[in-house]
Amino acid sequence: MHAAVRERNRIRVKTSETIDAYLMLAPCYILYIIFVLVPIFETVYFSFTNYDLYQKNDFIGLANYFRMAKDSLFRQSFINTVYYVLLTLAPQICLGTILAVMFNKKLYGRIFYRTCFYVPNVTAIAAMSMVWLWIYDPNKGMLNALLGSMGLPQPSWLFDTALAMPAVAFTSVWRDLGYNMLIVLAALQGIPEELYEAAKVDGASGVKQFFKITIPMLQPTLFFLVVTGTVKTFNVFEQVNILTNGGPMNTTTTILHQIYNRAFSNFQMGYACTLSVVLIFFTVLITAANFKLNEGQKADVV
Amino acid sequence: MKKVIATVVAGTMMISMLLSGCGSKPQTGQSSVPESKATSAPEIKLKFIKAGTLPLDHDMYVERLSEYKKIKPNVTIEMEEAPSGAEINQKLNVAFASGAAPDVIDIALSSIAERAGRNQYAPIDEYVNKWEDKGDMLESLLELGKYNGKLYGLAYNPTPSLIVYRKDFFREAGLDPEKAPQTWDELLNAAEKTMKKENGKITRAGMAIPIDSTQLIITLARINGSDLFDGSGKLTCDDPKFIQAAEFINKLYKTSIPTNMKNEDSQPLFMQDAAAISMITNLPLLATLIKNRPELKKEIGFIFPQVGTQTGAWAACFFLFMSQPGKYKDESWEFMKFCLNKENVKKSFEKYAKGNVRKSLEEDFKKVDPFLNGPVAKAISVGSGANKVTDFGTVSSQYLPKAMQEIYFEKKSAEQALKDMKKEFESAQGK
Repeated sequence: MHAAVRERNRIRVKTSETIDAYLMLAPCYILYIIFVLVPIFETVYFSFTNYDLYQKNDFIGLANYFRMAKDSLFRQSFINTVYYVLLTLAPQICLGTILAVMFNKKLYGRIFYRTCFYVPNVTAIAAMSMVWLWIYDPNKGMLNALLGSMGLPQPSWLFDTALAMPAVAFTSVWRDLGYNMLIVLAALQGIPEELYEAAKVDGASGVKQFFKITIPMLQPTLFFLVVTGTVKTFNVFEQVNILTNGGPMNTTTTILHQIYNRAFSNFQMGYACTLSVVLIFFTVLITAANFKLNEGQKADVV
Repeated sequence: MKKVIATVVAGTMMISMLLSGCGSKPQTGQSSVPESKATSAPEIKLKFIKAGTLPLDHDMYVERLSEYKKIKPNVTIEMEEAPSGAEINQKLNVAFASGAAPDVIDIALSSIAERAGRNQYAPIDEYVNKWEDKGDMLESLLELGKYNGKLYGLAYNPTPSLIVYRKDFFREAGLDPEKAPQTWDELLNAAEKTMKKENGKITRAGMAIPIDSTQLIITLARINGSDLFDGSGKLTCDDPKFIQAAEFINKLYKTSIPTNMKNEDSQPLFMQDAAAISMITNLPLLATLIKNRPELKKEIGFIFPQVGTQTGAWAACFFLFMSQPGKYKDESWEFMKFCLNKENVKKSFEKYAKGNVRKSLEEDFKKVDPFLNGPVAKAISVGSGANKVTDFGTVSSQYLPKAMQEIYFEKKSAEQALKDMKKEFESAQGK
């Protein structure tokens, strides 16, 4: 009898706790549904229409997708985006890791250096881009003035088809370096000191310790940075819009830049939604591939 | 107890979110005083968006809005600004799409076809026909504000682009400083001779050509007997005379320092003594240059290129438009009339370097600054601005700059680049 009552009470308490938990989660889920899921479904819907923000909103089937397949400007923006990802993702993670390892040591002034590297990350991207616009100015910019004073060539940076994208990528690496450094720094604090001591006793050099202890222990953190960094770099827009507006000759236009132009300048919201769907698809694909790779590496370790 | 508190907090958050989502914000212009209780004119808020962020323009409108408030104390005008070009268009697109359209818009002529065609601008024929000052407005400018036979905009600031040159640099290069180049060959010769190079790098442009500029190519094409669009709205960039103009500009580009429209609109190379010849699109900047360096006034000349006897200029014009979705059409019209009354038009060119739109003020306009306003009046008389075609904005901001860059960077010949441009545009239109 007592056992039955106790069991009933236990179930009642558990149900009550479950309801409370869902109530706690409810605001977050409601916000997610309203501001993320619903817009995604709307985007998919509008990708099958000729919606122009005002008058037209007719269902046109797959016409937008067929148009996208023939759109040379979209193809170029896709290639540019992949190029941008390659130029930014690896450097900001690798350099961020190296900086984190350096500033994890008891260096004089390390807090100052950490702050210096992190401050660009909290600066508004638009403000940062305006400053780099002045730095990159081929006539009066600080960068060319410095190069000129050293007798080096002074390229036209943002006006050069070969240099424009690397210049844009550099500003992104400069900005996000601090964030990557901070995340890795936090992860480094969690690596047991004993591992390094044991390695030292065994005669392992600093470099060997870095590759055999630090990197494997940082794997979950690096995986997180790769996944979030991939999503972020695929969605680059502000720097491109301010520094080059996609030029010269569309060598810096990216997928999101094209989506923005088609939607808000060309009255082609339906087509812009099509490009958005494709962007979501590729971002999910690459993220899934990252997860698969990470699982494979974990399995190898096991 | 903790569970109760947590449940109450979560429930309160959910309810407040739902209520805030259900509530509707007051519509633009709604009176905050219930009409049954109002004993005087109801409070009205007008939303006014203007293109351009120059301090001079801003000051002009701040003064104007303050004066308007004295005349109409019940009308509050909220002004917003955005840079001309892509930014103002995107701001307006979002405003119209979200149902928060402004009541009055100050923007360039190039918007008329796209927006009037989409029913975003309200026709103002009825208002203008009853306006006692209609007869004093310059007819050519009144006509300019029409689209498909209806009047949508009132010109308030004709602002042509002027091609200027430095007489001192001409003198230095052995050219006659008082003889402005007229033919294309003379212009190219002057640009090449006044260009300066140091260690293989151009340190002073012969003629500054922004890589994304389209005004110069369209102007030269028109002088040459062609245009970007023909009368039926068909893209004619593959016309041989248009291609000729592009080839000529490519030669001029070889004398230029890398620059773009954003730089030229705010800090033109000409103002930094870094170009001998330039197309100044922002005349208040030229006025500011002369004000800050009065010794330059005698060293600046004006060029009106010609082919045979045909000359031309880029004659942009800013208009006041009334938006179709706006609720307060009568009040919007009163504000537009106020901006264009004789006193304000006179003040705008005396104090704020604006153009003139009234017949009765033409002589006053020339007297204010004979140096600048004479060429401005000439440019308005021989020039024309954006084609009144729905796709002008898209073509001139995306397709044409790309084609010109392909020519400048020698990726394609002028003919190939412009023919490919037409193909790409028509393909995007589904043709």
